[in-house]
Amino acid sequence: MTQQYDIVLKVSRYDPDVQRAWVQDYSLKAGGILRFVDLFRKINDEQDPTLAWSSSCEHAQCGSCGMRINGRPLLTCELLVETAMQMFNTSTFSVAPLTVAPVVRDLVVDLERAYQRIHIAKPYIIAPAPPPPEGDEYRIVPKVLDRYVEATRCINCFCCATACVTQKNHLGPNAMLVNVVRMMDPRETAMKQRAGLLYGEQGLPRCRTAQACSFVCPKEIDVAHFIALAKQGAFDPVS
Amino acid sequence: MNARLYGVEGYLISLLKRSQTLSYYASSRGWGFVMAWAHRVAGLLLVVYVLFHIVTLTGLQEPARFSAKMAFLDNVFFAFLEWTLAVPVIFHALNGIRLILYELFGVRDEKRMLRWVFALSALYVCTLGLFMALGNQHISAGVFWLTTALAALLVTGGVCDRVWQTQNSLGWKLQRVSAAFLFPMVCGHMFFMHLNAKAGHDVNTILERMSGMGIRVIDFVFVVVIFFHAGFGLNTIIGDTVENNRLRTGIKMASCFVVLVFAYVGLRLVANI
Repeated sequence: MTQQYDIVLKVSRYDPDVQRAWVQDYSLKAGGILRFVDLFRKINDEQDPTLAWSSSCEHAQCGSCGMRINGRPLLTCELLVETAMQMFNTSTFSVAPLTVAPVVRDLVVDLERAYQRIHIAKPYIIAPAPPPPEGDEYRIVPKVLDRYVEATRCINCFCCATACVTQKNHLGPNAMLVNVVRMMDPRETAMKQRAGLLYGEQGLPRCRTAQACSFVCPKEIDVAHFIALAKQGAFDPVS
Repeated sequence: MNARLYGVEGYLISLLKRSQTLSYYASSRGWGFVMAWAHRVAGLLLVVYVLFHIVTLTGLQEPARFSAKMAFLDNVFFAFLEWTLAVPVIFHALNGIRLILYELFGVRDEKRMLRWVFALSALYVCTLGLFMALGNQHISAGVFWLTTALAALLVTGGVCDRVWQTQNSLGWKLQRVSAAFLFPMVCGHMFFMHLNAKAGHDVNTILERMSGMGIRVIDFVFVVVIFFHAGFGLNTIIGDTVENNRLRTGIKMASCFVVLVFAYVGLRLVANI
C-alpha cells in the first residue's frame, strides 16, 4: 500500500452572497501522487461539497486551475502532494486564488475578466503577410522558429501575472508575451501597432525585471528573457 | 538560488532567510522579486536622504550655522548612520547596473550577477567603513572628480549607445542613462566625502572645493541628473501601485512639485557658492 500523508489545507474561502471571506482548514489523508485538484475533489466528496474550485483539462494545458499554494502561483492539476511537500518542506499548505481578477467564489476567479488583458494584447496575427507565390502556405524556417518557439507554449494561466511585482496599471507578463511572440513571428506585418501595444503605458515600462514570471511559469518559459529582448530592441525596426 | 551555498554568500542567504517575509517571497516568487522590492525601498530611502541633504547643504550660505550643524552631527552615532547609508546607496547602484545588464546587454546569468551585487556591496561598505575609521586619506578634488566624471561619461555613453535606438519610451531610456551616469558619481561622491574628516564636514574645505568652476559644472549636472532619476523613479513607483487615475495623477504631480522645488534649491546653491 502506498504511503499516506496527513495533509492540512488552509483554504481561502469567499461567499459572494454575504460577501464574507475566511480561511477554512481541511485535514485529510492523501497519497503522495495525488494532485491538488484530487485533494479538492476529495474534500468535496468527503467533507465539504460547498468548496468551489475550477479546473478543466487537468493536463496543464488549459490554465484554469491556477492557484497560490503557500503563496506560489502554480497549476494545481500538476502539483503532486509529494512534490509540494518537498518544495515547501511542510505538510500544511495555504491555498488561495490568483490575484489577477476578482474572486467569484472560494478559489474561482473571474477568468473572463483576466482575459480582457489578453484581448487588449491581440493574441493573433493582426495583418498576416501574404503567402509566397509558389505555394499556399507561409513556411517559417526552423532557425527563425527556434528563437521564439518556447514563448508559444504559454497557456495564459496567469501565474506570471499573479507573481509580477507590478500589480497595477500593467497588462501583465503573459500579455507582453502575446506581443513578443507575434513580433518575432515573420508572418506578422502590423509591427507598428504591435510596438504601440508593447511599449505603451501599460506594457514594458511597467516591467521591473524581477523575473518572478520566469520563476513561477508552469510551462518553464523564461518570460523575463523574452520581455528583455523587446527592451533590448532585438526585433526589427518599426515598418 | 536553490543550490546549496557556502561561505559568506551562504551565510548571507541564511541570514536573509531568517526573515519570514523574505523567505516567503524568495520561495514563492524568487530572489529577483525580493531584489525588485529592495531596489524600490532603497530608492525611496535615497530620495528622502537627498531631500534632507539639500536642506543641510543650504546651511553653506551661512557658514557659521553650517559649522554648528556639522558639530552637532560630529559623533559616533551619526557617523554610524552615515556609514549605514552606504548600504542602500551601493545596493541601489549595483542592482540597477545588474538590471541594465540584463535588460540591455543580454547578461542572463542571474545567479552570478546576484552574487556580484552582494559581494561588491559588501566590499564597498567595508572599505568605506575603514576609510571613515582612518579618516586620514587625501586626494586632489580636481583629479578625483575628473576621473570619476570621465568614468561616468564612459558608462553613460555605453548605455546610451545600447538604449537610444530602441523603441522604449523616452523617460524609460533617460532613467537607464541617468542611472549609468549616477553609478560612478554617487559611489564616488560618498567615498570622497569620507576620505578624511574635513572633506565632508569642514565648511571652508567644502566652500573652497565647490567654488572651483570644474567642480561647479560637475555638481550642476549631478544635481540635474539625480533629481531627474529620483523624480522618474518616484513616478514609476506611484504608477505601479496606485490604480485610481485621479489619485495617481494627484500624487504624481505632488511628487514632481517637491522634486522640482528641491532641484531648484540645489541648483541655486551650486550657482551661488
